[in-house]
Amino acid sequence: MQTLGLYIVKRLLLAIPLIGFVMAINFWIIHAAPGDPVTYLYGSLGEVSAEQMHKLREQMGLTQPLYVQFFCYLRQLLRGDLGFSVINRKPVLTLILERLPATMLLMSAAFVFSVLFGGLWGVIAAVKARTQIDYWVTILSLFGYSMPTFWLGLLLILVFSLHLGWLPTMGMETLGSKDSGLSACMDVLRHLVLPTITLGAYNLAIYARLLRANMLEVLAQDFINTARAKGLSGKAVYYKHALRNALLPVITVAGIQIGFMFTGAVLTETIFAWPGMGGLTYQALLQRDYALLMGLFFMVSVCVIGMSLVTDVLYTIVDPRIRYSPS
Amino acid sequence: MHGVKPWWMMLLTLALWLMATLDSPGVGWGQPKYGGTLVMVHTDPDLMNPVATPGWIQFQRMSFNGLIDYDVQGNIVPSIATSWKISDDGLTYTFQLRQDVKWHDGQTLTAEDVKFTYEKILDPQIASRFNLNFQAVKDIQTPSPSTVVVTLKGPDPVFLANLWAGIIPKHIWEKEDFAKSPYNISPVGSGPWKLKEWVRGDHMIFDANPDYFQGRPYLDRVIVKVIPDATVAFAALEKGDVDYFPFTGVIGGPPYQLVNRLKQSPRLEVKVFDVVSTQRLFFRNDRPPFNNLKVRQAVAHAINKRFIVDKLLFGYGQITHSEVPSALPWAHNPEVPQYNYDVAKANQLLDEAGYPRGAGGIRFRTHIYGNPGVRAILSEILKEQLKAVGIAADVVMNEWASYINAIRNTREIDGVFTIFSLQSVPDPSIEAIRYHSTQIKPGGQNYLFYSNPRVDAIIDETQSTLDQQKRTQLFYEYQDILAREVPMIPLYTLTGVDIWNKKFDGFGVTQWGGGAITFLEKVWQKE
Repeated sequence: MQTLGLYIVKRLLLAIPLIGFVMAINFWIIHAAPGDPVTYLYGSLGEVSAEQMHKLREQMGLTQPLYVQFFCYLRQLLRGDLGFSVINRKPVLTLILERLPATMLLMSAAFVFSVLFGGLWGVIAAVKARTQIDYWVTILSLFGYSMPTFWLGLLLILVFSLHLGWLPTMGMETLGSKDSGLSACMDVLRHLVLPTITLGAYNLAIYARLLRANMLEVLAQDFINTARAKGLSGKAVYYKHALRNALLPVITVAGIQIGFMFTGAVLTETIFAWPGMGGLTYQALLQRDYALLMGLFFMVSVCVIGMSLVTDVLYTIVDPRIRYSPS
Repeated sequence: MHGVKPWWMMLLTLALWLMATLDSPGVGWGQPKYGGTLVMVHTDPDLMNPVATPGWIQFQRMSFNGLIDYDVQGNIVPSIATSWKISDDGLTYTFQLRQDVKWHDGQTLTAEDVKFTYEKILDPQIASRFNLNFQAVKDIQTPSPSTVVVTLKGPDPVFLANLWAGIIPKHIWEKEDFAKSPYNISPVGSGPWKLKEWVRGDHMIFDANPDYFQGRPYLDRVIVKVIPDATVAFAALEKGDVDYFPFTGVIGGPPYQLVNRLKQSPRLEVKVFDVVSTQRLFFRNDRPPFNNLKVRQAVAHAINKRFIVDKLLFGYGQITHSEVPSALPWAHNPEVPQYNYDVAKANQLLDEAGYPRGAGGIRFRTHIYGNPGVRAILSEILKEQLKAVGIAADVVMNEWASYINAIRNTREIDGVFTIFSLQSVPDPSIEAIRYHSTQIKPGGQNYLFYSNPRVDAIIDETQSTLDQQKRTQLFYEYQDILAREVPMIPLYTLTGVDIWNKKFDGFGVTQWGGGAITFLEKVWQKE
C-alpha cells in the first residue's frame, strides 16, 4: 500500500504542470476568438460610443498585452482566487459553487445509469450472443451511440413531456412549488429522468458495446474452459471469472469518458435549462466571460485529472495483478 | 309541447348570460384578486441596475421607476414625478416628485436620488445606455427634496421621453463601485417587484412589493426562468410548466413556426403586436461593388421580402420600405420610393452598373455575414435570392460576439449583413446616428460607411428642434433620401408575440416597450 501512496503523490505533483499547461492553452484559445465581453455586451447598442467601450476595456484590464493578463491571472489563481466575472458581477468561485451541485447530481445520475444499464446490456448481449436479444441490444446501442444529444433531448421532451405528459419539460424543480422534504426530492427525481437518459445514452451504448466485445473475448479463453471443466455453474463462470476480467477496459474508458461527459453536460443542461455548470459554460462562452471560462476550465481539468487517478487506483482493486511501483 | 319551448329558451338565455357575466372582467370570477405565482420565461438580464445595464432595459421596470412612464398606448404619464413644467425656451424642466415613494429598504426616494442617478448616467466610466440621450443636460438642481430642476445646453425634443430611465438610490450607490458592486445583482429599487433570489443564468424570484407607491401588484410572486432553447420554452408553455412567454423571452425571438400550434391550445392566449424594430440589410457603402448605387438598387429589386416574411417569419412580420418603422406613425414616411421584387430589373441594373455575367453566370462574389438563429436562415435565403441575379455570396457565420466585433470594432466586413435593434426611446433620432458621417470610425455607430452631408444636417436638426411638425418633415425627408440612396434595405418590421396561460388575466400588451412584461403588476391569477 505504501507504493500506491507514493504513486498517488507523484501523480498529484505531475498534475500541477499539466493543469498549468491546460490553463495556458485555454487562455490563449478563448482570447483568440474574436470579440470580448465589452463587444458582447455593448457592441450592438447604438447608444454606447467607441470611447466608452474603450474605457470599459481598460477597467476590465483587457487592454493589457495577453501575456501580462495571463500572468496576472496565474498569480491570482495561486492565491486561491478564481477571479471576478465581469458579466455576472459575482466572484467566479461563487458562480461555480452555485452550479456545481446540480451538475454533480446530473453527471452522477447519468454515470450510474450508463454504467448500470450499459453493463447489464453488454453482459446480456454477450451471454445471448448472436441471438435476437443480442441484435436488439446492438441496434439500440447504435441508436444511443449515434444520436446527437440535442436531438435526443428534444425528442424525449416531445414524447414524454408534451405528448404523454409523464415528466416535466425542463428545469431541476417545479418553480413556485411549496413542496418540501420527500415530495421535493421526488420532484427533483422526476426532473432528473430525461436529462439523465439524454446525457447517459451515448456512454451507455459505449459500455454495452465494449463489455459485450470484451466478454466474448474472455469467454473464448482457456481459463474459462478450465473453469467450466471444473464443473462451475454458468453464473459463476460469467460473473466471477469472465465479467471481472472484461471490466478492466470498461473502467479505463469510463474514467476517460467522465471528461467527455462534461461536454455532453453542456448541451444537455442547455436543452433542459438545468441549473448546472454546463449551462454556465455555454453562456460564458457566448459572452466571452474570460474569468468565468478559465475558472470552469480549471475545475474541469482538476476533475478529469482526478478521475483518471481514481481510475488507475481502481485497477488495482479490480485486477490484483496490477501493482504500482514508485520508480 | 308548445308551452315547453319558451322555457328552454329562457333557461338557455339565462345560462348564456350567466356564463358571459361571470367571465367578463369586473364581475364575479373576473374580479382581479391578490395572490398567486407567475412563472415566466426570460433571458437573464445582464444587471438589475437601470443606469449601468447593457441588457434589455425594459426589464429594469420590474424593480425601478423613472420620473415618467409610458401607458399601454405609449403616451407619457406621471410616475415618480407627479407633474412637470417646461420653460418656453425648452431649456428648463422643473419636476415635482411624489413624496410617498419608498425604496425597497424602507428609505424615502428624494430629489437627491434623481440628481445622483442623472449624474451617474452622464459619467462616461459607466457606459450607461442613456448616456448619449442625456448629452443635452447642463445642470441638475434640487431646490427641495421633492423638486428637481434640469437645465439643458440646448433644446432637446427627446429629453422628456428618456426620463423613464430608472432612478437608483443614492444612499446605496454613492459608496459603491459600479463595476463590481453586489447591488448590481441584488438591487434596491422602488418598483413593484423586490428581487428575492437570483441564480445567474438560471432563475430569478421577485416578490410583490407591498409598499409600491402605485399599489401592490396582484400576484405574490413572479419567477423568471431562463430557458435557452426556444423550442423547449414553447414545450414548457404548452405543457403548463411555465405560464408566460414574453416576446423577449429567448435570444433570437420566439420560434414563429410554433406559434400557430400554440394558438390552437385551449389553455393559452396568444397576443400578436407590432414592435418598434426593423430588420435591415446593410451594405458596405464605401467599397466596390456596393459603392455603386445601381448595384444597391439591383439588390433591392432582387430581394423578395414577401418570401422572407412568409417563409422565415411564418407571416409574423410586416414588409417595410422605410427606415422608420410604422409603429412610430408620426415619423414613419409611407411614401418613400419602393423597390419591388423584379429580377429582370435587377439584372438590367447590374448590367448597366458594369457587372456583366461571367463564367457560370456569376457577376461578382461577395459575403453575407450572419449569426446563428433567425439571421442564419435569413442569410441563406438572401444568398439564394442574390444567386438568381448572378451575385455569388458566401455566408460567413459567427456567434454573436464575433459577429458584432467584425461589424463594429475591426470593421473587416466586406459585403452585406443584417441587424436589428430594440430602442430605448420611441424616437427615430436614436437610431439615426447610424447614418451620421462622424460615426465612421472603429467602434463608431456608422458601420455602413455611409456619408451624406444633408443626412448629417437632418440628424443634427431633429435632435435640437422642438417643433414636432418640423421634426416629422425632417424625418420624412431623411427616409426619402435613404430610400433613394439605398445604403441599406429595410426588410421587415418585427412582430411581437406574447403568450400566456389563460389562468392569468390583466396583461396589457404595448407596442412600445415590447409586450406585456411592462405591466406585470396588473396581472392576476384567476384560479
